[in-house]
Amino acid sequence: MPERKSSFLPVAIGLLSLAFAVGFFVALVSVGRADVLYKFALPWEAMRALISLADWAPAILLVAAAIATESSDAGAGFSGAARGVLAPALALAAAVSLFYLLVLPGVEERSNRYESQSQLFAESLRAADAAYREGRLADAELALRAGAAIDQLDERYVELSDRIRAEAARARSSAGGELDKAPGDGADDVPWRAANRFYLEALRARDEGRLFDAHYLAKRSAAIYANDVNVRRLVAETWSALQALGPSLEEKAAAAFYGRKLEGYSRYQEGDYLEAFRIYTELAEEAPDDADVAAYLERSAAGLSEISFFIEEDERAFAESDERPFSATLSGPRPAWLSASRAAASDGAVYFRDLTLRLGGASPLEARAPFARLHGDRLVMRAVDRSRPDLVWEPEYARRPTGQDGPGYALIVPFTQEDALTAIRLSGAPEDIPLATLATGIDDAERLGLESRPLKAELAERCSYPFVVIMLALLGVGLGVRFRPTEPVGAAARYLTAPLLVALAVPPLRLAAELSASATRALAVLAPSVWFLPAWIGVLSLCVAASLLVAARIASTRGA
Amino acid sequence: MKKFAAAILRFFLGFGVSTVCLSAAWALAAYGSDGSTITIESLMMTAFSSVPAAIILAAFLTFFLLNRTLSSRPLGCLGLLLLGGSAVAGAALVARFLGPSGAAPPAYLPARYRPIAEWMFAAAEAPWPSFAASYLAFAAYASSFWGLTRLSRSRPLIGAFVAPAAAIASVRLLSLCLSEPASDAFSLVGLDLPRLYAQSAIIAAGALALALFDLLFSRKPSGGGRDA
Repeated sequence: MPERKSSFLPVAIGLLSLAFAVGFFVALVSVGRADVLYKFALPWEAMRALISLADWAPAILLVAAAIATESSDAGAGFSGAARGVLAPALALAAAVSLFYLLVLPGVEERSNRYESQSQLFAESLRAADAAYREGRLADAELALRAGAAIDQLDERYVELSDRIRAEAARARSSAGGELDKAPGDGADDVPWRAANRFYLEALRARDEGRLFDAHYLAKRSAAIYANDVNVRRLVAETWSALQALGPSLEEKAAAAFYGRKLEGYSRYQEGDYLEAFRIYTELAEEAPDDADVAAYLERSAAGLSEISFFIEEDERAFAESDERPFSATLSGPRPAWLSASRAAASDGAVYFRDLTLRLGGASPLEARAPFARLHGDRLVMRAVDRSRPDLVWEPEYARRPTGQDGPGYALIVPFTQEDALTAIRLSGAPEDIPLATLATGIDDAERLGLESRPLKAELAERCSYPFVVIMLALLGVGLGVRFRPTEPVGAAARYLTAPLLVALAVPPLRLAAELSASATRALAVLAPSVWFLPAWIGVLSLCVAASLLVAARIASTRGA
Repeated sequence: MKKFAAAILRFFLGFGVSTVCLSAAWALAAYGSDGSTITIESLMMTAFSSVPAAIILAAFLTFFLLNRTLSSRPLGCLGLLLLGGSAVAGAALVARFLGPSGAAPPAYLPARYRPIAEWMFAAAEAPWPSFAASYLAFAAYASSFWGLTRLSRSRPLIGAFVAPAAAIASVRLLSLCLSEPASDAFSLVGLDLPRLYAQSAIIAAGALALALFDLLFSRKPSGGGRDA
């Protein structure tokens, strides 16, 4: 018995739910192959399920429309059946289209970010491990930074980080010992020789009036040769001489502290903010409550930010936002080319890694920097580690502009932060780009020297989706009328066969999507930018009209 | 008689439209992706390459009309064999006598379709026995999918959804049958068949399997009934 009430919505909602469940299951079993970090696994699976849902939604609409019409009791003709099914079908088509246009790009972007960050994490660990094995500890620590910004709780990271830190600490302590060695002295592997050498150097230092060095070296000799009377005597003698020098140790320490504070202040006044920052960082460790130290630490950090930035800013930006290779070109009186192996945007600036900058014009420039920050139109190419201010990454100039006197840590460039943000947004996978950015960004992409054809093709594909779902709903109604069975189909058979029909509809629709993508790519080449979108929307409108006629024609062949 | 004429008309109309659409789609895809230069000659080669896929599509378009017109499987199969055979052999004869010798399919064709295009070109220039065996086997293959549109009489909608997916699957399957590893299968059993004969045998075996499937699982065409 044909049904009075349209079964479109129950079938469609049931199929959409099933599609999400199947998509989630497929993501669940393929999470290992995708090599996604454990902490991203669940959100990645949810994102993949939503992507599958959007992918299968057109087929679901087609099948739901066909099944609802197949079992409806509306008039035998196309218009009678369409009246009952098309209202919910078009409402669902609108909802699915809004989801596709507004939500899916964000979903795709997050899914890709989870994958790329997992890949970057693995690469960083691989590079750090390789550097560690080859004894390049500085490189290993640098490579590990990228991983640290992504996941510091991963077991592999923790284990490798501990190994590298332990090795670095060992290397630093042995490097301290190395400093005490006389150059060219390679015979200290025998302890007594080292002790003897320290003793002789201590004697020399005492004779030259360097009492601190004399006492220190005597103590080192005593540490090895504790029973030697001469060594012990020298230790006692140099200590007495030190005590006799003047004020007490506390007074001397306070004076030294004040001296360092003064030195930091002088450096700050001279504009050497990095050195001032280093001094005040050391002093802050000694006396965290000292008001002068706290104030000048903050001021030197502020001064430093004019010509440098802290590496933690870069790490935070890369950890919090999607990163991608960057390349942008500006033509004009001063042509500029900026590229980076990776770039990430944060609230206040855009950060680059492995940056290359070329400026043309009357005063050409070429520079490379491992880390850089663009804020406004000011490009800063020196990075400092806040916790270890002796660790600094500076730019290298292959060609300096005429008249540049300073070190060139910061430059005013023809690119603005907004340009860089636009280039980052437009240089990722086109399917990740939000609709508004895509619609307004094609001119910007051309201005920044980015390839605009994939963006046009993506925009056209996005615009196609609402038209396609409407066409499929119409065709579904036509098929439902044309292939209406003589005997009514039971509800169980209808619901059980629906997923099979969706699976059968997916390959032809995918083929049609490929053909449509080819057509949009060709149109992107052939049509001028201004006419591209109106021309494509015109084609799609004609296709909707044609599909209405085709659906009516299919329905009219019923029983012919 | 009018319905037979309608079936013939539908087949050749479908064949012509499919050939034009496929050629245009492949040429457009090549132009849009890497800016390949499209010449009249390359368009002709593309059109000739697209003949097998166009025949399969045209056959699928005709199946539904035959379901409503005929009630005999052998008659329908024979009709489809003649339609498919005449279309493919006609195109091949035009290429053989009017086309340039040593022609090859354009480089921009999809990789998955290349074995079919290469086979089409090779068979068109082959000696007459190979020519006949190749195209006859192909015509049988194209017509053997008819049974898939008659799977369920109570649920004709299933046939309507099976047909497009089956058309795509049949092109993929044909590509697989014509690929080099498939042709080399005969050497495993000690048969050293020329390549075109080996391919014809594989295609014919596929057609036979599908005909068997039709006999075992598909409904008889009802000739005016409600088959999909």
